Amino acid sequence: MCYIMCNPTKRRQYCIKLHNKGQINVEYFVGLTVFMVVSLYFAFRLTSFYPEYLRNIKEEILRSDAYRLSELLINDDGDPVGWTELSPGDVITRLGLSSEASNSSNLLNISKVAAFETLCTNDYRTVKELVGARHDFYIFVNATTTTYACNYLQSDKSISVITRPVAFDNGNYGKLIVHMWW
Amino acid sequence: MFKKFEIHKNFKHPKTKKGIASTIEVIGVTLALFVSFSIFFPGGVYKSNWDNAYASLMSRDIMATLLATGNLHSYMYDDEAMTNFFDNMFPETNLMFWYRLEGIKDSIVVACNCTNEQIQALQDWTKGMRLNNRDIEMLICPTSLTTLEAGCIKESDVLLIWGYRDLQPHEQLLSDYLVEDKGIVELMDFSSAPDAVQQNIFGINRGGFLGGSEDVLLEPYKTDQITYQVYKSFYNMPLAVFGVEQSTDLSECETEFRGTLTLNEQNMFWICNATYAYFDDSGDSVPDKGPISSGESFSLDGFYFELTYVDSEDKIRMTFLETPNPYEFIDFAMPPLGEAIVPGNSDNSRVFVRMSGGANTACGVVLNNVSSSRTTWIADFTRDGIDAVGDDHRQLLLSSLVWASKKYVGTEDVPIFQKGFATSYITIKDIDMFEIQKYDIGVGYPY
Repeated sequence: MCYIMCNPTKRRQYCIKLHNKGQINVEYFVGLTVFMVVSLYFAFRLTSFYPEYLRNIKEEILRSDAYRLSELLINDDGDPVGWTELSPGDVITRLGLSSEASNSSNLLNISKVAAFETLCTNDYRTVKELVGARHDFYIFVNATTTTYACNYLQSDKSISVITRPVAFDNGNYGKLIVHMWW
Repeated sequence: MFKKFEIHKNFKHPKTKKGIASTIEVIGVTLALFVSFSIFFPGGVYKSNWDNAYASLMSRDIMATLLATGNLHSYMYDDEAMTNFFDNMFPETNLMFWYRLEGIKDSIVVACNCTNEQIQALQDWTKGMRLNNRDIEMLICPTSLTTLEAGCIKESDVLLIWGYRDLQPHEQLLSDYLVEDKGIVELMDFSSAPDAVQQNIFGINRGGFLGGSEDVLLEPYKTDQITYQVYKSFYNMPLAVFGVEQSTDLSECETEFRGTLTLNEQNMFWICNATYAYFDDSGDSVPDKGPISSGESFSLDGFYFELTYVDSEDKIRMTFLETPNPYEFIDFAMPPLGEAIVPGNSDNSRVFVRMSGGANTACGVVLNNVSSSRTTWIADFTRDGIDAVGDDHRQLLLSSLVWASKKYVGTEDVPIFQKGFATSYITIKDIDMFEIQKYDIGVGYPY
């Protein structure tokens, strides 16, 4: 029980609360509630954002990797430059499809594209190493009348897709598409 | 402390009222917190801006691809080819594009308010134009001055008004034409003072006195002077001259064509074996100057020229040289029975050709800028008949038309994008004349 003791002699009544041990006052309750609301709010927001942010970051990484791969293929000659016709003792250390005949951006050597497809069909793992890709990929080159593909059977897994217009040294133009996934 | 306390007789347990107030406070604070949190800590939305980056990269890739195919220039003139290119590249995206080429156009449409005979003469005069290894075609079509919405004038790049017209009824049309970034060249004499339209649009007025018997090309004193570009074209744009008949005047030539080069005097010339040329410098129809090969300079009538190209058996191209003697016309600025003309506001920086004898002589060519467009008044050098027109007058008219014409081709109105990016590619050519061409390709999203 709680009793209120008052002094009746005073014009304004002063009362005190007796025997309130084991109970919480209202201010404490309000403060606790506010703290819990704030904590729950932030916990809720964090748990709702975190997976989405994580997914977005992964997509960014994948996209940048796919773009890097497309850039390498489009604007790098490869090493050695004429890797489609190796001399004895030569070893391919990097693959690139750019035409070495002209110092032009986005100009692919159609022979390299065809050789790349063959190489990829025979040994996709080696191709993956030679282009320095960290993730699996599928590459599609549309050359107007002919199409070239690498790792086509895996194409249904793609998450990130990069499409880039390219010209070919036979005078045509087309596009190179890189699909990549985890 | 209180000595005598008693339970107040009117005491009621505080739970019933104070508890209600606190609960309301808690609810109120909680709601206020949620509202303030949502304002100060809005929900995080991850924006990668990949769309922007993709549009930017795509415009660069398209530019690089078209350059690599070697067809960038021709695609700029072929709307269908460009549309097909984009449709093939991005069949299922919401990407929009625009493109533009800024510079002297390969194909300049001249709407001529003139007679059929004058149109025929223009077609002859503009034949064989070639600049910096590309053909410049001038398409001449007749037009009235009634509407801009139909016919030749709608598609034109420059309007030529040949012969005197009262332009006051057409002032609005001319102003609207200039707003479209096109230019106007008029070739006319005045029997009375130029009216308000002439003053406003062409920037000319009555005035000036009779000078010497030559008209001089005034050298601009800085490159941003309005006359600089016309001056540059006059002295650098090769002028095509044709041999009109086969001859056997030169014994060493297997194939030989003969023609007449009309400058201040008439000079016959011979093209020999499509490799070099001979000129008559004494008026006796004898090839006394030559052989002259491509790239060599020669003098005629006291002025110097360069045989820039011997194009074929019957065609040479030559340029006027400003040194050692700048070229001078036999006077055409002052009409025998007409008004002498000077620039309005005495702005002599707009005078390209004037009679020799000082800064107050009558003018032959006055240029003007109206908003962003260009107008040229040229004294009517055809007043003695079309046949009396010289190749020097021809070069003057061609330079003026090229300067005044619209300088871009491609998407007429750049679409309004929610976001978009453009890539520019700038080339400089200096084979015949220093020329800058700027290619733009823009890619963006409508929403």
